[in-house]
Amino acid sequence: MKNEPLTIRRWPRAILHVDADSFFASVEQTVNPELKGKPIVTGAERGIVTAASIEARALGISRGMSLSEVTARCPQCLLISSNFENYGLYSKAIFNILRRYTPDVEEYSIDEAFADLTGTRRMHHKSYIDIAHDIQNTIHTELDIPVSVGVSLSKSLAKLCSKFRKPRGMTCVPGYLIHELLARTPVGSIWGVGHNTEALLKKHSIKTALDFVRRPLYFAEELLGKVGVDLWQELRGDVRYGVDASAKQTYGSISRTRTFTPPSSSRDYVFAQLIRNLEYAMAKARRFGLATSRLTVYAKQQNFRSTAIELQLSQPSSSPLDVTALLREHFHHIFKEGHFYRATGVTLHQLTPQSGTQFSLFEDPMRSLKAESAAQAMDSITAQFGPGSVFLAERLHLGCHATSNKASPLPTLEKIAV
Amino acid sequence: MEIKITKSELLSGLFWTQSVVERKVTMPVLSNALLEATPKTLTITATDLEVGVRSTHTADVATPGKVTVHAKNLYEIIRQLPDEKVKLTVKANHWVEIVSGKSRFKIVGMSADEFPKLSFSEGKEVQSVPTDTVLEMISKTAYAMSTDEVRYNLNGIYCEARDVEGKPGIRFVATDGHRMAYCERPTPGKFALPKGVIIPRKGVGELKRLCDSGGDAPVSLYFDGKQLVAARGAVTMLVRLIDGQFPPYEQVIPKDLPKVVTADRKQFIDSLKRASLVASDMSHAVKMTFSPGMIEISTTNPDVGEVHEEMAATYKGETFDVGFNAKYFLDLLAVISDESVVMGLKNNVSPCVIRSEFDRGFLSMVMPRRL
Repeated sequence: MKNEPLTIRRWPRAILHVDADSFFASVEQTVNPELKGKPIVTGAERGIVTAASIEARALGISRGMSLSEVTARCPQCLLISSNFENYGLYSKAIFNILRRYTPDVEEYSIDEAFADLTGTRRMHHKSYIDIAHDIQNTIHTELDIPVSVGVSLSKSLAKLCSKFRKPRGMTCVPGYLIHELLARTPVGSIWGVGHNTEALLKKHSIKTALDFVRRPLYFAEELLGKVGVDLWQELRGDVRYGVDASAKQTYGSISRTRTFTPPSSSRDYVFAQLIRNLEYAMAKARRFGLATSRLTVYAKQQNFRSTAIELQLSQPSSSPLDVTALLREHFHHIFKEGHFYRATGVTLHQLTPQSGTQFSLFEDPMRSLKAESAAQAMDSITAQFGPGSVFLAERLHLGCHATSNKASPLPTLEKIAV
Repeated sequence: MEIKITKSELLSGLFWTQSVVERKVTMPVLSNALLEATPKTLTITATDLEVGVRSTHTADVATPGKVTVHAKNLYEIIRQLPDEKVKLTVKANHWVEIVSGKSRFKIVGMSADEFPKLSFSEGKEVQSVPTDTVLEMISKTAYAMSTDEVRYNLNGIYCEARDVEGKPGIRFVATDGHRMAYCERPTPGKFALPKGVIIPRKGVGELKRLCDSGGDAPVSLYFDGKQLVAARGAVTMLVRLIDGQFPPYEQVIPKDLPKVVTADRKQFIDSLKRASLVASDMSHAVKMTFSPGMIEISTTNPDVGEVHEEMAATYKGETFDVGFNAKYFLDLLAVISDESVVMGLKNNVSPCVIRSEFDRGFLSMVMPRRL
């Protein structure tokens, strides 16, 4: 039973997952070749590590570490500020290389993608594993970015494969070998299984992914519901999550977070930072013709403690003017006098198309229509005169950086911590 | 405790507990039904702390006493028993023995002391209302209740004492923020309700079940500040009211409605149903164009195609377009019984008021969508 294969089919589907290794750090090393082979970390502007190069990882540096800890552990480590524009360009370049091999490419995140290779063997005159090697080599030679590649029967399995060997790994698991991979995968490493699910599965003495799929389907369904059923079938090689090749046109949510240094205890300054994030996120929503009806806003203190609140709008909106009053009313929930803050953030949820908004009985529709046309007027001024030519007056508290869309390095207002 | 009772009597009491007891248990005792035997009667009680139900049954009580037993398990067991006569005995450590014919069960119970205390006492100002009236008022408003947990004050039916055509009466109101409906009916007596109260969704469902359970007996209703007590026959129900403010719904009913359109209800439903086949599943958005003598309903959906419907209507005035959620209209048109509906409109950003041709005690409002 233990070694019995889950399926005897070799390649009913072939799904490839590409995961760039230490992506941000790798891009920095490619852009500045003198950084090659040195331990570097990115995220200097935030004060925590967002990515550590392979060399830095070897020295025990990991994501999320504070920079002071990094310098204490490894003084020779170089701290670099993030450059998201470069990361975006390299990310697009990786996706474009994948599209040479198959049109079905899903841009899963900035440094991850899925590609459906099913049926492309005949076109490339190669086996799936050779195609995967080709892709990995092309990315390496053209972009000089190390990637780990996994190929298997479903997205969940491909993702396990790419994680199996890292960095520069290549793992290819056909159907009749799935059980071998799953036996070596702890349940906590399955895509979509978090701490809570892991703990729940362990209570049922499920330790590896194989233990999970050896149980009957109804067990997965009773324990985890629909998610459990999908996971169970995906891990057995039956595709439940298709590769979504459509370009990202819909957004689940839009977030904007910015860290500022030095931290500030000025209420107006922190509120102004929040408003800037709100304006940015709302402008992005308008660009995609979307409106939000639920937002989360948060402020993070110097000691990394953060407080968040959720605000529900009575009708969807894409204008910051609709939200500022509500935000000001609830700001005291996230901002406490006497504390120093280092970051604020806004996330817009429940995004729906802006056209066809359902009006609310207990809210004057004219008010939000006016707020929206004001926002559109701001958009057209921005289009003509450039970013920062018009903004909400709250942002004046940012001093000379009010017009900048970047996080300000040197705030000029009083009451700012040193 | 030791009693003898008929299977049908016991089942009829346990039946009421089934929809009340909690499925996802926070307090284990809330999955249980409380059985209390006093000389000659057996009382069965269940609650999820929001809704409580109690029924009284005649039984042959040998030893009075009380115990709690898992309500769903007990119901399933009693249902399958072979004989009409059932004997229940509480043994040591709250074990309950069930004997019927040649079957003998011994199931786990819990101490009755852990069961929450509920006050089923009715006050003096009890009003008995015909069940038809209550059922009609629920069906004409319940569809507009909100399901959004965040807006808990809209997750139920608002209930207030009103004079209806000079007689004492009661009004039910429900809204989800996008639409609203009220229904008012005269009652035999005047309700002592100083201000409106909100009956939660689950309570509305149970009240409907109580009124729907056959027979002609009226239901007696009693509100105190915190709960509603509804009694009918052997069953008494307790509903904890929502502690929240209902929005000022009367303020948003437009007084001045310059555009009045009358249409055949049946035709209107059919046209909207056809248009819904194309409209997006999410928004159900349709465009209504009102022009002299006609309503056009149209919608386009990039995934499906487009539809254009025309129907006769009495309307005099200039042509104008309004966007609506077709489902909101279908919900309210389904509960109206008259042949024609009368719609009052102002413009494409003000609520549309829909009334039944003759029923003055019913009013419904739908807020437009943006086109």
